[in-house]
Amino acid sequence: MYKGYPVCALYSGGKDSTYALHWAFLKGFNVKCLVTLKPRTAESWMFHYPAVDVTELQAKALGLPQVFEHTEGRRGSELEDLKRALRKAAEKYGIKGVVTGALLSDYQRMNINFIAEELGLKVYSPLWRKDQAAYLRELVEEGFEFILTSITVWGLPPTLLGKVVTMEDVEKIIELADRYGFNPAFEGGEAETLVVYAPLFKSRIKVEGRRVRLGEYEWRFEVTRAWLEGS
Amino acid sequence: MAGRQLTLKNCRYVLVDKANMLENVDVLIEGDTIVEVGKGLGGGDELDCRNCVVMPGLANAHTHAAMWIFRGLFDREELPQWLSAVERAEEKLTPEIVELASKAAIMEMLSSGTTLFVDMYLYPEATAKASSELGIRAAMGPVINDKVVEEGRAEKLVTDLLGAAPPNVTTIINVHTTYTASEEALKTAAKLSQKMGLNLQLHVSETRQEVYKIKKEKGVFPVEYINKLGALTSRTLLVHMGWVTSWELSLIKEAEATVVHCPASNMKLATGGFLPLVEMLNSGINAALGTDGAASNNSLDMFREMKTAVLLHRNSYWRTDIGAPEVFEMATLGGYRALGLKGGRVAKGYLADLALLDAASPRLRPLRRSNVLSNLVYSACGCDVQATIVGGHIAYIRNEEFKEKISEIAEQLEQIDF
Repeated sequence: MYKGYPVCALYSGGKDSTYALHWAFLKGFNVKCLVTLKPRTAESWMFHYPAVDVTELQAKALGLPQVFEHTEGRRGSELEDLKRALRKAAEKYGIKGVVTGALLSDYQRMNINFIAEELGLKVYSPLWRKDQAAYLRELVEEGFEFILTSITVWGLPPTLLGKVVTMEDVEKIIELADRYGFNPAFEGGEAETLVVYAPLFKSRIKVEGRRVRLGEYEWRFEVTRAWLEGS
Repeated sequence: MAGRQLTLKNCRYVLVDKANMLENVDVLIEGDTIVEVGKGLGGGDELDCRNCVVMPGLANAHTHAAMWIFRGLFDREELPQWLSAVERAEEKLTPEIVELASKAAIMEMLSSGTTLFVDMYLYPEATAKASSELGIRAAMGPVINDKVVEEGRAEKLVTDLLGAAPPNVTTIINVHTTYTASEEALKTAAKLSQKMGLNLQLHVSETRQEVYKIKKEKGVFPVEYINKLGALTSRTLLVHMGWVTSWELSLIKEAEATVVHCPASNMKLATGGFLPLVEMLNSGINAALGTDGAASNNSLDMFREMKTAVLLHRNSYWRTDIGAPEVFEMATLGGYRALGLKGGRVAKGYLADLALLDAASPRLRPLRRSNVLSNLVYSACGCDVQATIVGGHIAYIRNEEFKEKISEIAEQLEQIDF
């Protein structure tokens, strides 16, 4: 039986990469593995830093193998790290394409595409240029549960850190985004998210942590403990 | 200067442009221009249009007319393989074949309401001749490539065509694309465009491979590259652009260049990009629509193309921002504007380039004032066109004679084996 076009999902554990992964399943792609870049610095140009370790639990919850690659998070070198990771996924799992959660950054989209071009892989970015506010609402409506793990923009209250975002929170975020002029889906890295439950997760991820203030309006939710519910 | 008059009498509906509609009016044409739209007009020959929807003629802003001969031959290939296959087949082409194939394409375009097409192909003088004979408005020109530049023939090729071009044909300068033409060829084309005040047409950012190659070799993205070489101006037609980036859009806007969208061809060749049409239109960039050649579309029907454009963008954006008014304007005004021609509207002072559709066609029914535009974009097809007028002349009337003529040409071309 045809199992669908073999792809990997470039996976940070945040809402966008998780949503893109679900889209791939719904489209009939054969998602063979997750590919996760683990930045050594919080200043990564391309990849999520906070709570990236929790992706191992997410991979378990999804029942998918994961390819890890460390990255220094420096502009330029991290593209080489990504290339290494994708090559590994291609060699080990025979993937022919990459699914990404790119929203609006051409820097991110084109860099991934250039690497994919060198490796002969197709790239699918289902969220590209979608209406950001509508997407945020759909996420919650469709059963994606996520928490905020960092805030780096003026206007987002730290009380949102570490709690599962509700529809009420979504409306608040959209209103604040409009008022303070940031992207409601945090495309520019205004906040980072971590998905604790999604329709394809076999179990929920439980997270404990604490809020840490890093600057005037910069906050991080430090995950101190995370586990799969029922384990 | 006054010319021959023609009156379209009692037009059931006149779709002036994307936002304006008139009912039961006459259109008075003098020479090649519409001189009045209103009630109680008359003069010259009269055409009974009580069962017609009159709309601006369609501008197919990018095609390769003579590739009509390759229709249906290369349907599975992705663009690079498709290009190789086409290049092999093109070895058999002569100016005579190009002229004949252009005729077939032009007749097909006229019969589906296209009044203007922008061409890029071998032997443009042959296509110009065919255009003149059949009375369509067209823009075409030599393809400036490395060989032509090395041999110092670029300017002569342009001036020769310019000198011989019949009245309905606008001479333009073509460059295949950024990765097949050298920096020198692009610069030469840009200089000629500037010096002679001619449009410059080129395929840009059509595939990921192309963007990758230019970025790697030149250190910049394709639109940045042509801008650096002086080839991005208000006379530039950037065709395809599925892989354009947001920062390149600003350059296009600043230069007032035109983007020509060919959705069916892009999807058929699986180029996989995403033309940011909503952002383009919101920023005021002039956008036009083209079918591309029959070897990659494979239709030359602009009605299909309009619908395809809407469907593609609704599916890509998951939103309905792009609809009938947007694509209709691209398919009419957008194309004329790109060439600096006052056409694409049914209004006083505009070129009398018009398409007359059969209001009784089931595809146009139910027909109400409120759904004329919708029916034209989402339901009609080129076969609903009853007559096409170019520059005040009736270039097409749906009848057996026209069908037989196109059939004769097709039969000759079908003898050639590829």
